[in-house]
Amino acid sequence: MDKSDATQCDDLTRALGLSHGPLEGALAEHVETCAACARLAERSSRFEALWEASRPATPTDAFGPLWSDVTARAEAASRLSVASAAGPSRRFRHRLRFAALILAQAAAVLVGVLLLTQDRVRAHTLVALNETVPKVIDIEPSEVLVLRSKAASAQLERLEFEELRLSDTETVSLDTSLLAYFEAREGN
Amino acid sequence: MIETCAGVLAAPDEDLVERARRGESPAREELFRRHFDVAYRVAYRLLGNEQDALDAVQDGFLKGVVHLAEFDGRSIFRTWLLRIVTNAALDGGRRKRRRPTVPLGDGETDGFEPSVTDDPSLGMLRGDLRRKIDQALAKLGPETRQTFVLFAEAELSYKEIAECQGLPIGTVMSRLHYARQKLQSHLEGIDG
Repeated sequence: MDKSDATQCDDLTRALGLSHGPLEGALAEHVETCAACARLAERSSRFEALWEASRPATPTDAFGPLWSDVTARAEAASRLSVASAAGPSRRFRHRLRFAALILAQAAAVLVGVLLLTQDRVRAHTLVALNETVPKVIDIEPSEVLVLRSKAASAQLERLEFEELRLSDTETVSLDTSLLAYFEAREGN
Repeated sequence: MIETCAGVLAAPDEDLVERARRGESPAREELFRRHFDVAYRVAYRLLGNEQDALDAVQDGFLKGVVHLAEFDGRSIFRTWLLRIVTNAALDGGRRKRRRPTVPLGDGETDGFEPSVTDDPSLGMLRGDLRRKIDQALAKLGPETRQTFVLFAEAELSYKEIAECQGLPIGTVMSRLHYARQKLQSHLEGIDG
């Protein structure tokens, strides 16, 4: 088999894979002289005969009822779209629902942030009070103080002997720095 | 009315599309009627039974009617419509799975009729042949089956199939070659 025959064999194989119908021209002539290609062509034409023989016949009178149904459904769809065009569109309603969901989530987040912030403010205030205690309490050597412990805090009462009354009341935290302060004063 | 119908029957697809868009019902009906046969055959080849094929054609035609205004004329109407119908068939096939309901009789009562190429020497009942072809097609993947059916049944060109399926022409050709080899191999045993 020379090169041109081999090329024609390749061409025929390709053509049989891609065409549907009888071979023409040079390929038809090639089949006459090449036994291998003749077998391929026979196989191919047999397949096409089977394909044609199994071709489904369109059911008679099927179009009428089908078309009636199609037009009825198309009109119904058209009426529906007109009706929905009068009110908010489906897309608009969808966006509205989406916006409501986002707003609800935003509100929930805001409430959460506010609660957290409030707690932090309180905590910050307590810390500030704790931190200011050593600065505002100034105890003179002659003074008498009553320290009333109450859980995590203490009430500091400054007594003046002349009038025997409570002249000042501070609410302070019982922390180690305050105790250390008294200990330091006693040591002096 | 008779003049309108006569004009409709003779008009090319492009004219019918324009007239259908203007609301002419006879033009619209004729436009879809003239492609009903090929649409049905394509859907049948893809789905393997009459009822599913009619359902797919009906769904496809409904989409075609509703979206006719969106047909931009870049492809011919037939290709556009077949694309919709084949997509409807694939959707239907996915929903129901392929369910070949091929009777083993002679097929005379189920819409299967002899064609001009029907050769008695094939030595096979038509029902059996139909089942064999259907089984062979079912062995192809849905996309490859669609490519082959559009080529062999609807006689679309490579370019039209490429447009229809959104594929490069080379892919269409390789799919056709593969499908043909596969189908022929599967049908080898029924030489008769």
